[in-house]
Amino acid sequence: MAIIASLIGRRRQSFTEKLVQMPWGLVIVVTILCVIGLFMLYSAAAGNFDPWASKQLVRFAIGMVLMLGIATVPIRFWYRASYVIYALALILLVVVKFQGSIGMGAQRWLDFGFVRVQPSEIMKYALIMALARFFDQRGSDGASQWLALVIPLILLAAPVGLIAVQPDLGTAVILIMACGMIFFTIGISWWVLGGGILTLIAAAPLVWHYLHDYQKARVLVFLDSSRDPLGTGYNIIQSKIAIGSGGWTGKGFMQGTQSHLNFLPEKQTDFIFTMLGEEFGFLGAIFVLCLYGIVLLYGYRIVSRVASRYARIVAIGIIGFMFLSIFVNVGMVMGMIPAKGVPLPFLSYGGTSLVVTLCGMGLLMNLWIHRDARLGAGGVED
Amino acid sequence: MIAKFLERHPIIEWLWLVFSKQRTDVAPDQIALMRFSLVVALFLLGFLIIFVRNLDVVFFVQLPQHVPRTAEKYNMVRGNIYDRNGQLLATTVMGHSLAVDPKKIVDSNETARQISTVFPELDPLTLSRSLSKDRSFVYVKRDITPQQLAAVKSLNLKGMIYEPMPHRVYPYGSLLSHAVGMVNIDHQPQSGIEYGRNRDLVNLDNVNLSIDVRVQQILYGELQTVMKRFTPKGAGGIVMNIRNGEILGLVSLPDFDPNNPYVPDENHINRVTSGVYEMGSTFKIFNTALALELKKLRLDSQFDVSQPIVIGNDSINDFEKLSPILTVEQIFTESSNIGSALISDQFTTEQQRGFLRSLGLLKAPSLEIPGVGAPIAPKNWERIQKITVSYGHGISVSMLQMAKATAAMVNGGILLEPSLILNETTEPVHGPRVISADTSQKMQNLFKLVVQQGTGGAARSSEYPIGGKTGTAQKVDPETRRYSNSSVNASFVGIFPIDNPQYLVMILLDDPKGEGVGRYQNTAGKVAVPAVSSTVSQIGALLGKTVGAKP
Repeated sequence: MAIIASLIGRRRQSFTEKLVQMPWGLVIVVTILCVIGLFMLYSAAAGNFDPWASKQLVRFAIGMVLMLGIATVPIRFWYRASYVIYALALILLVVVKFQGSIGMGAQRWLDFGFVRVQPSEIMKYALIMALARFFDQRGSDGASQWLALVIPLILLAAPVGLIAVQPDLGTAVILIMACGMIFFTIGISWWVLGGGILTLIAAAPLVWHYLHDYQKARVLVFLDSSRDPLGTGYNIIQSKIAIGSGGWTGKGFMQGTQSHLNFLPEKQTDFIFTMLGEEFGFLGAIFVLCLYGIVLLYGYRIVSRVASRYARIVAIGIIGFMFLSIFVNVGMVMGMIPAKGVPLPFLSYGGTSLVVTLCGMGLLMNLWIHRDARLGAGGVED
Repeated sequence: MIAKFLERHPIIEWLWLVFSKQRTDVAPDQIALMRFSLVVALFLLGFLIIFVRNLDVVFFVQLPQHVPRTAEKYNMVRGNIYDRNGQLLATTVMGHSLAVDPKKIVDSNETARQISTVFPELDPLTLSRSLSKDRSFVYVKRDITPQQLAAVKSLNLKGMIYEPMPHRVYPYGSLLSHAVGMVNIDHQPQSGIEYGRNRDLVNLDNVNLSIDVRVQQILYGELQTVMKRFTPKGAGGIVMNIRNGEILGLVSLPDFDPNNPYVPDENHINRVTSGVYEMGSTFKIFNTALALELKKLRLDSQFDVSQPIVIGNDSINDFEKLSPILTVEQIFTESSNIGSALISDQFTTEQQRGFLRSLGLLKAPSLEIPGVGAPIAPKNWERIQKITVSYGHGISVSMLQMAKATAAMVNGGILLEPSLILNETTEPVHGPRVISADTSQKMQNLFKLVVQQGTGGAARSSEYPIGGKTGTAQKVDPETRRYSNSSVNASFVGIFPIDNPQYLVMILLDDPKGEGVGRYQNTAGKVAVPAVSSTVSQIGALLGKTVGAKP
C-alpha cells in the first residue's frame, strides 16, 4: 500500500468520492450483459449450471471485484505501470509459446495450477496502455512524423508475431486493427495510414502461405459457404439456420432445438450469439446489440471528456478492442466474415476473456473517475 | 450564402478537421476527438449492417431446412426396398463410425500411426493433422466393419469415439444402381427410388418395386455382353409390361456400386431416363402409325423411293440402295428414309407435332426417380423438320419416352405411364387412347414383319415370337458438328409375344464399334437385335404364364 500511496498525486480523490463518480449506468449495462451470458450458458447445458454457468458465475464475481478495484486505483498508478504491464504480458506470451498447454490445437493458455490464463487477452490492454504512454510522452506533435511510429510499430509487432504463431490469427488481426485505429485517431497522416493498409494488402499472400490448413479452409469456405456443407461451412450454415429459425421473438428460453441437438459446435463460446438469436429471436439479438451500443456511447462520452492524452488513447483502445471483437464474432455467426475463434465480450464462456474484459471496463471507468487528472507530457505536476 | 454555408456549417467544419492534413491552428487532441467521432460513426454503421444482416438471416435467407448430422439418427433409419417378388434390394443395418476427440489425444502422431495400422488406406500424416484439429469431434473413418471396430478397440487408445451409425446396404450392389439409387454417408437420398420415395422410406415404410430381380439380372448380363463385344460408350436397357406400364428391368451401363459409389460422374448418368438420343428409324413407328391413323394410306400404298429428296442444300438418302418402288409395309421393314419422308407428306407439321405431343414425346415423362430428362425438339417445325423427324433425326428423346410411346402403338392404342412401383391390383390400367385398336393391330403386324422379313431378322432365332423396330441413328460429331459417317446410336425396341403383345424390351448402344470388316457392322440389326432376342429367350421362360412359346 505504501508504494501505491507514493504513486498517488497530490489532488487525490477520496474513495467515497470515487464511488460517487463511478459511471453506475455503465456498471449496470455490463452486469445485464454478463447475466444474459450466464442465462445462455445455463441453457446451453440444457438447463444445468454445470459445466459452464457455474464456473462463469465465479469468474463474473471475480471480474466485477477486479473491475471496481481497477476503477478506483489512482490513474497515476496505471500510467506509471504501463510499460511494466506490457513487459509482463510480453513475457507471458513468450512463456506460453514454450510451455503453454495445447487447447484445441493451439497453444494459448498458461496453466498456473489454480487458474488458466490466456496471455493474448491480457496483452490487448497492456499494449493499449504502453502505446498511450508512449504517445503521451511524445508530446503534441508526436504522431505527425512517420519516424515517430517506429517504436509503436515495434511495440505492436512483437505481440502480434507471438500471437500469430500460437496460432490465433483472429486475435492478431484484431490487435492490428485496434492499434491501426489508435494510430489513426491520434493523428497520423492519411498518407501513412493508406501506406500501411496497402502494405498489409501486399503482405496478404505471404500470410496465406503460413496459414494452417484449417484457417485456409475457413477463408475459402467463407468465400463460398456451400463449398463444404458438412465440414467447416457446416458451422456457419447451422448458425444461420439457428438464427433464422428464431424469427422475431425466438423459440423461448431453453427451447432452441438447433443448439440443444448439438447442431451448433462451440455453442457456449464462439456461437453464443447464435443461441441468443434462436431462443430470443431478432428482438433479443437487437436488445443485446443495443446494450453494446450504450457501452459505445459511454466510451465516446469518456473519450471526449478526459483531460489527459494518455486517458484518451487508452479509452479509444478499449472501445476499439471491444467493438472489433463484437463485429468479428457477430459477423462470423451470421456468415459475413470468415470463422474465427473470437469470443463475444461479456457473453462467451471463457475465463480470461470475461475477467479481462471486465478489467478493461474497470480501466475505462477509472479514466472517467479521474477524468480531470493531468498526466505526463500534458500534466503540469510531473 | 453558399460560401457561408460551406465555411460555417458544423458538418463541413467537422469533415475539414477530420480529413485535413496536419493543421497548426487545431490542437492535436481535437483532431483525435474528431477522428474518433469518425470511428464511432463507422461502428454505428457496423451495427446498422449487423441489424440489416440479422433481419436478412431471419427473414430472407433461404437455407436448407436441415443439414443432417448424427443428432438426427432417427432420420437415418429408413424403410427397406424390395423387388416385386420380395427380394431385398436395400436395407439398413447397424454399424459404427470411428471418431476422435482431439482434445483428449496427447500424441497425435503416435495415435495416427496406430490407427493407420488398422486402416492402411489412411495416410498417417494427414490423419495426424486432423487429430490435432481445432474441434472436439473429428471423424476418422465412417461406416467401419465389425472387425475394424474390434481391432481399434484392442489398441486401447485415448480419445476414441465409437459412434453407432446405421449403415445402408444394397445386397445386389451395382445390379440395380440406377433404379434403386443410393443414399450418401449421411443417409440423405441421392438418386433413384431412394430419392424419389424418400418420404415413404424415412417414415419407415417399405417400398416394393415393379422390378423383377431375375429379369434385371438377365438384362444386365446381356448389356454387359454387348458392352464387351461392341465397346460402346454406354448402353441402356428397359423391360416394360405394356399392359400396365410396370417396369420389370432397367439397366444403364456403365454404372456404380451404391455400396461404394466413388466412380466417375458419368457412371451415375441414367442412360435410360435422363440420356436423350436421336433415335433414328424407330421413330418411323410414329410416322407410319399417324399416316395409318389418319387413313391417308394403306399398308400396300406404293411410293417411288428411287430419287433422293432434296430440300435446299440437303438431300435425304437411304443407307442401302433399295427397290425403286416400295409399299408402306416395305418402307417400314426395310427402313427407308426416303419412303418415310414421302409418307410424312401425307400429313401436316401440326398433325405430326400434335401426335408426338399426345404420345408424351415432347415433354419430360414422369417416373418415381429423379434424373428424368426432357426431350430436345425442333424449335422451328417446318417441312424439313417434319421430314427429318419422320425418320428420327432432329429430335432427341429418352429410352423411357420411346418405350412409353411404343407400348401405346401395340397394346391396342392406350398410352400408359411407366412406373417403377409394383402395381398390386389386377384391375386393368386406364390411360388416354392415342390410336385406334385397328391401327394398333396394323402396327403389330408391321413389327412382326420387321423381324420376319426386314432389319430385325436376327430376332427370328428367339424362343418366343418377337416383333419390333430397329433404329440406327448417325451421331453428331462434336468436332465438326455434322452427322458422323461412322458413329451411331443403335437400338432395337422389341415386343413379345408379338401375336398377343405383353412386354417391351428395348436396348440401345451409344456408339458401338462393329465386329468384322465392312460397312454397317455397327447397325442396330447387328448389335442391338441379337441382344434383345437373347434377353427375350431368357425372360420369356420366367414370365411364362402370360407368354406363349412358339408352337
